[in-house]
Amino acid sequence: MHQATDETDGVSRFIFDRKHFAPENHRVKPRALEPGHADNMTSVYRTGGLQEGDIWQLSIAYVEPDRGKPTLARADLRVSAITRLNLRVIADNTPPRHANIADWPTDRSEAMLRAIQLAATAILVVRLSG
Amino acid sequence: MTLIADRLTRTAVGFNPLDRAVSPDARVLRRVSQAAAGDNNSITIAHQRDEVVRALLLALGEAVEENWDGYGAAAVNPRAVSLALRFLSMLPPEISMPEIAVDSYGDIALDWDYAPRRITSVRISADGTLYYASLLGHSTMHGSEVFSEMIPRSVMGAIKRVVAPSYR
Repeated sequence: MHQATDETDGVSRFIFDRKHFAPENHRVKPRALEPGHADNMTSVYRTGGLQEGDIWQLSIAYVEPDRGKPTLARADLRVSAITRLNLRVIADNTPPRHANIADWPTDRSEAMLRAIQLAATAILVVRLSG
Repeated sequence: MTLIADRLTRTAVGFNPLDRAVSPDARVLRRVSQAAAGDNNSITIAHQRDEVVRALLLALGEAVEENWDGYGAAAVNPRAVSLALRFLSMLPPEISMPEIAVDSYGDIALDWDYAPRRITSVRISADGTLYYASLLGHSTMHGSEVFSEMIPRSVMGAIKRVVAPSYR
């Protein structure tokens, strides 16, 4: 059963591409948040109540195996900021704590704009190496 | 990846050592090279050409196969590359070079990204459609245009408003 997340919850988008963030000015790039070409959704994980190490562990356990790359950073987003843009977070818990940002506009330029607006609210967390 | 980028760059500037290669990468490189060569005459900013080609093709290095991002992205489309080269050659000299990348559609992304709320993104699709979106403060613009003989006025307006001298 799919379920919506709480407005006060937080979600994280794990980042694997160096071009998707700018650590020098603490920025998440909009392309890191754009929906996938195949499903028009953005894969995220619900991270409310988790410690830092537990958040990274979600990516290590469930995302890195598919990506085949180490996690470089993550974008932390408030669900309330997502819903303000008329997007929706739908939790499917497959794998645990997984959710999707859905309801992206089908108009591609409008979806690009939403991603830009969403990135402006994101907090970049860079993964410390070692 | 460095090797691929180097191959791409040398291919784009006319040196093509890959004619007998059969790997997926090599086939993509050959198509990119052929597409780029078809538009050479339209590139008028000669001194920037190699730099532009290098930046563009470096961006392609990781996107030559399907699912290059792990989220089902399409492979970069050589026709989009060709159109991006033409688009970049048409930019007025006062417009700074954008960040260049490939998006999940396999199209070319050109981003003039100066701050979270001072950004214009243009996507160049293989079918010649330009998608653009821009945020400047709380002012938004977005739309799509057909790219043919020149950069459409609306797209140029979206670019110029974020690189305008008053915001530098």
